[in-house]
Amino acid sequence: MTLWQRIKSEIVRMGGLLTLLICFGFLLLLLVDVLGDGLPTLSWDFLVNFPSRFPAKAGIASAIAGTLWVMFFTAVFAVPLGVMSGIYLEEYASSNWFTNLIRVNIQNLAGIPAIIYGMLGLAVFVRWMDLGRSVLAGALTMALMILPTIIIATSEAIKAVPDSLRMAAYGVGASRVQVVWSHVIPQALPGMMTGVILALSRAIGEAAPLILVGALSFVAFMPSGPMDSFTVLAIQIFNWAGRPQDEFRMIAASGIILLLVITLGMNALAIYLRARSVKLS
Amino acid sequence: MTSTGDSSESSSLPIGQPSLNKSLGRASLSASELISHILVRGAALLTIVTTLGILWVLVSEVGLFFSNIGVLDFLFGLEWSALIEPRKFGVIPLVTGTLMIGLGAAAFAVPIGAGCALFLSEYVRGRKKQILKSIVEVLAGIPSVVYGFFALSYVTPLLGKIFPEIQFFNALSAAIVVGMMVIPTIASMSQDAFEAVPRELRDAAYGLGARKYQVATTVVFPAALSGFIASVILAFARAIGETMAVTLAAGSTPNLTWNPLESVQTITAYIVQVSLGDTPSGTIEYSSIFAVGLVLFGMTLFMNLTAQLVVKRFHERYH
Amino acid sequence: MSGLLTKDLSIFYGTKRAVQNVSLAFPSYSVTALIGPSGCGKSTFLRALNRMNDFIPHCSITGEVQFNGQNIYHPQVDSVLVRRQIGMVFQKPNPFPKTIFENVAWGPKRAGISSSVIPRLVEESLKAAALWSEVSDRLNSPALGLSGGQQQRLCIARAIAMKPSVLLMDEPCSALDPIATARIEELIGNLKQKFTIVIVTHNMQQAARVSDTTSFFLNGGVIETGETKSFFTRPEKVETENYLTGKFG
Repeated sequence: MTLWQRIKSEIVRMGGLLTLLICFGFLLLLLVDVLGDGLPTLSWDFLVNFPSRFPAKAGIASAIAGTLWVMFFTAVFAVPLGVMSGIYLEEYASSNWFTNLIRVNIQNLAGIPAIIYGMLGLAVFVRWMDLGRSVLAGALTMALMILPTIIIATSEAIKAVPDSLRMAAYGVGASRVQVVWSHVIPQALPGMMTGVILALSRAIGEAAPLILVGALSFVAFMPSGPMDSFTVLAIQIFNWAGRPQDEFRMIAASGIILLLVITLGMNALAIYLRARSVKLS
Repeated sequence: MTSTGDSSESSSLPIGQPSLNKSLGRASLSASELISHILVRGAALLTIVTTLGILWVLVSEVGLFFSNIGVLDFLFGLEWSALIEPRKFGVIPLVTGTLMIGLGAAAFAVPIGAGCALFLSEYVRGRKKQILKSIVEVLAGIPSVVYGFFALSYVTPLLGKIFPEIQFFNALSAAIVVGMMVIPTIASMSQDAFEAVPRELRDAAYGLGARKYQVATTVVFPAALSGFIASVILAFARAIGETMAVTLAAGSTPNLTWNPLESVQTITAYIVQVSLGDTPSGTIEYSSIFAVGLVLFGMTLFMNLTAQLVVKRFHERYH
Repeated sequence: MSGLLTKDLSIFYGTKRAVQNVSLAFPSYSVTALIGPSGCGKSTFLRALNRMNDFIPHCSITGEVQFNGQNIYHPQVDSVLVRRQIGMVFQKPNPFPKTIFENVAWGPKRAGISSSVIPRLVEESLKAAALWSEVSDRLNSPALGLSGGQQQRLCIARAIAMKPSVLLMDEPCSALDPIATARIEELIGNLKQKFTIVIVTHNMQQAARVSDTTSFFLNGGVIETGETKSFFTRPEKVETENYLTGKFG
């Protein structure tokens, strides 16, 4: 290698490494900032108190409860529907213009900004179906939002199952139903679960659609039913982060720590599942 | 599979042989098959209903808006002042605000994302590759509000030291954090594109005595160009759809400017602003969010379709 | 009329004819080998014998495949039941990602055999496939942990556990090493006492070793069929002789 070539080679290699380090640097800066602001005010009281005008007394309990309520119903609606749609598209649908249209449509839906789903939810669930600003309206909205992601993840997981497995099962005289449910789906299950967990984790972090659907910013009670009004972690954090006082910024950071623990924890679980399934195959 | 042989007399059996005919036993299995068929088809149809629903909602709710504001005034007006008198509904300031964040974020994320993708694809082997890729992915897993907080608490003060004239809410801060958020979009998709370049191509280049950096930059990258471009388009689409981070970081002042140090309002931030207030339905303000929402929907739909087209071209070349 | 035979069977991919007007009878309890150069249609023909071609889009047939006097392509016939009577072993071993026991037991269980009978059935099948002595102490370990040759014998055990009348084998040894191949060839010699076997192979010597009858396929049609004993030493047609002496293929 000539000297000039060696220099260029090192520049390219170092440049690539540098971009990676920049990414890690960003992550580190963000985590340090959040932890620095949030750890001091992260306390048991914080977790069990309700929000208040006084930052020292404010807590995140209602937001936690609201998040749990909304996510429960979101999962109940989105997961079975999404998984079954994915199974249909990959195992039952014949390849014609209609199913291709559905596939393209799902790809588009996956790319639509969250806030547009909020507007859909507002018009359809809150107003037209008259569910009001309730947990149910929020959950249905979020379910619609993550449905395309779950469908795509399920489809990809099923597509990854090798055809030789299906042929082997047909070869011993299995019926279509048996091949799909006794062989293909068990094999695709880890991939499907990864996709579902990632989709749910995204829903937990999303605030925009729920703002539209009317999640309130000051909720000093726990929701007790699906028709109650509510708030979620992400919105409570947004509310506090937007206030000028330093103390509110600090409890916003505390809320963020909790939110990150949940979402990053779910992401880590999904990655672990994916790694395990690759190892088993 | 069709059969055109003459088979009218061959469905009867010699005695003593097991029947091959479709029997009642199999028919009851067909009932459960039928139920799962229906359930599963219905679920897929729901997605069509959703798209139609979105379109219908947006189009029907803007009726009130456009009966009061002319379409041309809306699309080309240079002043947006929806909640403060005198009311003006020109959408251009919101569009420029949105584009500034989108372009800024993309400009920020493209070099970093491309660098990560190329480096991981060509210079890293084995388990390290998967681990490093996962760490980059974490940037995408962090919720938008957290980025908004980070912008206010760290990025804007830092920028203030470099540009003392910067406003507290500004576009640059928002563009940077949204850029961080979409780096994995570019990195992941581009890395897949680079790795999909067939081995034969690299072998040919190495066989001619090329160096790794030459192969990476002059063979692999151009071969995967459409995948890379698609990832950039998708990242841009994601950036313009971002809500919480830009609302916190860029502010709520509709402002027709290309100066990133000033406060701007994006379409998404405006929608949030209206929703947080108490806006009864049936008012101009309420239907205005659907009008700008329609613009946003059009923009992201266009981007997504373009990206899909680019990806299809890429697949056709190599599969 | 018992046994398996085809009557003027032609197979089409779309409009392209891959197999033309083949009428072959497969004598019971014997081994018939189908040989020929690659792309001559022998695998396509084999797959038509138990309707595995149903899964290939745009694949259609004319003519008949008769099993025990019944045309298996008759609209009233259930292809699933066909495959329980006419089993298949594939080129690349494809055991289920389950335990060894579950691999053999899965088919019979789904077909309704009672679970009290299953363990004995699994043992019989593994013995008949010459695999029992190697796996009897680890029936609950994963099937994918076996060697290639063992996996293929497991697939054979899985197929014969369904107690089919016919066993179709599509180049079963081409992915295996010579020792594993020899064991399976020996196995075929034993299996033909209970099953009718049709084997596709690109290896002429293998056909000469294991089969009773040989058919030579070329360009989608059968050029010649005959008793293996005389087929390889005194072929009747010129094309057969050219293939056997290595002038092509």
